Amino acid sequence: MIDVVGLTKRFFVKQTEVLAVDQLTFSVREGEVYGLLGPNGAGKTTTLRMIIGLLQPDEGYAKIGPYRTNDEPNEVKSRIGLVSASDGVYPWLTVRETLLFFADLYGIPPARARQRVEQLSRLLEMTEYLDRRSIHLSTGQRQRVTLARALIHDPPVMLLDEPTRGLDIMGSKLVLDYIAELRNHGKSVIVSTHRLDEAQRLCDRFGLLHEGRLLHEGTLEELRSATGQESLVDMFLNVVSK
Amino acid sequence: MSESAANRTSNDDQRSAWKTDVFGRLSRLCLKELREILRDRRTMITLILMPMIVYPLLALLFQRILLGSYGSGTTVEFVLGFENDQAAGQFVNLLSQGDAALEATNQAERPASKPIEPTTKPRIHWLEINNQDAIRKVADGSIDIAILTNTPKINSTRQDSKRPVVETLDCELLYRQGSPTSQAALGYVEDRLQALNELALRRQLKAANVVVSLPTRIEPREIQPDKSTLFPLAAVMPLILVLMTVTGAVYPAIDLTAGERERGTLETLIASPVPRIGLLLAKYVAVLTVAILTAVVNLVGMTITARSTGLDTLIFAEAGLSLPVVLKVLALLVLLAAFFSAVLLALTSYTRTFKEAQAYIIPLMLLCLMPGVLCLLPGIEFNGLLAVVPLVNIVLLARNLLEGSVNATLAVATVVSTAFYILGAIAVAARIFGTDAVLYGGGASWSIFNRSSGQPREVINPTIALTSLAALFPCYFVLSNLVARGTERSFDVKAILGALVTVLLFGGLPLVLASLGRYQFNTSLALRKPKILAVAAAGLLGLTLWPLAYEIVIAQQAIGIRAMGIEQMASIKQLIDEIPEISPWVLLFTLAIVPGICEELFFRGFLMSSLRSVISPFKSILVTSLLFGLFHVVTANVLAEWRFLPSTFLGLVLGWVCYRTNSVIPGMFLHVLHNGLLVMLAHFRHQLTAWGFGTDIQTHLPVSWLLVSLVGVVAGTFILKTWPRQQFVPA
Repeated sequence: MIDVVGLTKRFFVKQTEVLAVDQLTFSVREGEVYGLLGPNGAGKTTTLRMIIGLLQPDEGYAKIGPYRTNDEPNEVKSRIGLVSASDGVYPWLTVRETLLFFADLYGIPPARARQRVEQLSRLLEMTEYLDRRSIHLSTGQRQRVTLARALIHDPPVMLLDEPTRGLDIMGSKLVLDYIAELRNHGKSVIVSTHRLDEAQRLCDRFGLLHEGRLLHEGTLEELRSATGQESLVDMFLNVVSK
Repeated sequence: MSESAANRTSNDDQRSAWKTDVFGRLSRLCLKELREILRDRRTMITLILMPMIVYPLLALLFQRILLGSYGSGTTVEFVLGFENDQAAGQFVNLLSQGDAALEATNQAERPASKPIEPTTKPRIHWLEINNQDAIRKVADGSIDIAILTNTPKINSTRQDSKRPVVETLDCELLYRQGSPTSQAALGYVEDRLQALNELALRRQLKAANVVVSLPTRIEPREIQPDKSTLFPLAAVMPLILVLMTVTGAVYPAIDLTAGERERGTLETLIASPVPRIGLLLAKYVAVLTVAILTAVVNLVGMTITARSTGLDTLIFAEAGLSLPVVLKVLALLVLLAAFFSAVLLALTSYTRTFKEAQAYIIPLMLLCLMPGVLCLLPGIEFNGLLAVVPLVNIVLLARNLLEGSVNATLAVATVVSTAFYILGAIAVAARIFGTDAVLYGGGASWSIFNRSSGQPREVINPTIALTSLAALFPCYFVLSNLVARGTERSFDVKAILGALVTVLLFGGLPLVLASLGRYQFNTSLALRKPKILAVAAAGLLGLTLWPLAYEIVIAQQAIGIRAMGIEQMASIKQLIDEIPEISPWVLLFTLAIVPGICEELFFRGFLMSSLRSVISPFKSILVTSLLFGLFHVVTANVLAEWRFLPSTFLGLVLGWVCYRTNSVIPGMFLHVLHNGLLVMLAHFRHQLTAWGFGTDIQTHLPVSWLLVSLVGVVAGTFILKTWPRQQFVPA
C-alpha cells in the first residue's frame, strides 16, 4: 500500500547542506503497522512529511497505492490520515465543529460525517467534551481530538508522528488499542515514536533510522538476528552509539 | 466488498468532491475561518471596542481644534479686511462705540447680585483689501471677514434743524461658511453694531418728533469656502479610513496564516486534499469580511459621534454626513479593505510566527499612513501617474469623492489598477502560502521560478502570469500617458514611442520572464510552428473581421451603451485627418505589426497558456479577452469605454484561434492583418472615397461589405473548426 523508493531530502542550514533523509526505501502492506524508529534528527518526521506531500523530496518518491505523491498530491492526501507532532486543533472551535470541518475538507457527506463523529467520540471516549471549545481541553484530550480528526475520513493509510505524546498511561493504552484495531481493519500504518516499549508491543515491522539512513529493517525477530540485540531499546542504543 | 475496497470507493467519491461543489466548499471554508476569527476576543476588541473609544476621543480632539480658540484662557484674534484706511478707521471707531454700548446694556441688564465676569476681548487686526479680491481672501482664510462699506449718506429726506442728522454706513460683511473663526468674528461685529444701533434708536426715540434713523445697516453675505484650503478635516478623512480598515484586517490576516502555522493547524490543513489556492481564497474572504465589518462598525461609530457632536457639518460642509456621503465612504472602504486584505495576506503568508508577522506589518502600516498624510498637503493634484500608485490612488480618490469632484477616467484607472494589485497580491500569497519553506522553515525554500528541477518547464505558473499582469497595467498606463501627453510631438513620433512601449512591456516582459524561469518558449508562450492552412484561415479572419467589429461599435451606441463622446470623436477625426499625411510604413509598423505581435505574445501566448494550466480553455479565453478589452479601454489619457466590446470580441476570436491552432502565430497574423487593414483604410481614405468606397464614422457599413465579411469569417471559422486541433500538453 505504501511504497517509499529512494526518498532523499536535503536542507540548507546556514549555507551548509544537511542530508535529512538519504535514499530511504521501504514499503508497508495493507493491515501492517510499521514502526519508524530513531533518535532525534534521524529523519522520521521528514520522511512522513514527504510521504504525504508536505515536503518535496529532492530525489525518489513515495507512492500510496497507484498514486505518487509528487504527481497526484490530492489523491494521496485523500487516502492518508496524519497525526503530526503538533496537535493541530483549532482553539475557538468545538471538538464537534473541528471534526465536521475536516470531514467536509475530505468530502464526506454531512449525514455520514455526523455519524462518524459520534462513532469516533465513543471509541476515543470524547463524548463528554464533544461540544467544548478546544481551547479549554487538556493536552491528552487534544491529542485524542487530533487522532479523531485524522480518522474522520476513514483513510486506508495512517501516518502517526508520536501519537501518544502528552497522554497518560490510560490515554496511551486507549490510542494504542485503537491503532491495533486499525490493523485489523486492513489499514497501513506508519508510527514514528520514541516510546520503544509501545512500538515493540504495537508494530509488525520496524525501520531503524539514523542520520537519514535506514540501518536495519524487518520484524522484531529479523532485527534481533541482524543486530544481535534482544530488545528494541538495546538495538536503538547500539545504533546510536555507532 | 472488502473494507479496503470500500475505502477506495469512498475515496474516489471524495476525490472529485472539490470539483463538483467548489463554491459550496469554499463558502463553508470561509464560514469556518470567520467562526474561528470572530470568536477570538482580540478580534472583538478591534471590531467593537476600538470604535467605541476612538471616535468620542477623536471628536473631543476635533472640537478642541475647531473651538479651542474660544477657550476662556486664550486671546482671540480676528482679521478684518477693509478697502482703505478711512473705512477701517471709521468702522473701528463704530466698533468701539458699539463695544461701549454693549457693555452699558450688559451692565444695565445684569442683576445686582451677579458679579462681573472677566472677559477677554478679541484682538482686532485689519488688512487692506480691494473689492475684487475680498471674496477670495475670505474664502481662502486670509481674513476672517471682509467689510465692504458704501459712502455714508444723510439718512433724512426732510431737512429739519430740530432733528438729528445721522450718517448711515452701509456695510456688507463677507464671512466664510463653516468656519467657526469667521462666524465668531461676524458675531462679534454684529453684536457691537447692533448695540450701537439700538443705543442710537433709543436716543432718537427719547427725543420727540425725531425720525428714527440708524447709524448703520448691516447685511451679512455668505461665501462658499475654498475647498482646497478650507476643509483640512475632510482631507483627514482618508487617513482615518486607511487606519480603520488596516486595524480590521491586520489581526485576522496574521492569525489565519502565521497564527495557524504557529498552532500547527496549517500543517493539517495543507495535508488535506484541498487545493492551496482554495484554502487561501477562503482566508482572503474571511480577512476581507472582518476588515469590512470593522470598517462598517467604525463608520457607524464615526457617524453617530459626528452627528451627535455636530462636527459633521464642520467636516463635510453643510451636507454633513448624509447618506450619499456615507455610501461613498463605504464603497471606498470596501476597495481599501480588498486591497489591504490581499497585501496583508501576501505578507503574512510568508511569515512563520505571529511575532515575525507583526515585525513586517508595522513598517507596512507606517508606509500606508503616508498617502493619507499626502492628502493633507495643499496642491497635490490627482493625476494619471498617481491614479496607478497603489493606495495613494484610493486615498486621493477618496479625497476627491468627499469634495465632490471626481474625474471618471482617474476613478476607473484607480479601481482597475487596484483590482490588478489585489490579483497580484493574491497570486503572490498563493505562491508562498503553505509551502514547505513557510511550514517548516529551515533549509526549505520557495522561489518564483521554481528552478529546482533543472529542466526547462513547459507552462508559466499562473502566479507569475497574474503578478506580471498586475505590474504591467500601471507601467502601461503611465508610459502611454507620457507618450500621449507630449503635445509638441508629431503623430509619427508618438506612434513610434507608443510602439516602443508596446514592445518593451507586452513583448519584452513575457520573453524575459520565460528566459529567467527557463520555460520552453514553444509551450509557455505558445510559440509553436503552425500549419500553413491554419495561418491562412487566421489571415482570412484578419481580413474580414473588421466590419463586424465596426458594427459592434455602431450597435452598442444604438442600444444605449455610451459610444464615443464629442471630444473623442474630434480627436479620432483629427487622427484620421492626420493619418493620410504619415508614411504607410510607419503606420503599419507602429499600429499593426508591433501591437499584433506583442499583444498576442502577452495575452494569448503568455497569459492564456498559463491560465489554461489551471482553468478550462473556455474560461481562459474569456478571461484573457476581458482583460484584452479592459486594456484597450484604460489607455493613455482618455477612458475609451466604447472600445471594450469590439476589443473583447476580437480577443475572443484571437483566443479561440490560439486554442484551435495551439499556437500564437496564426493569431499574430490575424491581429496584424486586422489592424493593418483598418490603418490602411484610414490612410487611403480619400482615394477610397473617390472610388466610391468611402464611409463616414458612426454610420453602418454597406450591406455588400458586411456580406463579404460574413462569408470570409464563416469560411475562416469553418477551416479552423474542422481542422484537427493539435493536442495541448499541460505541464
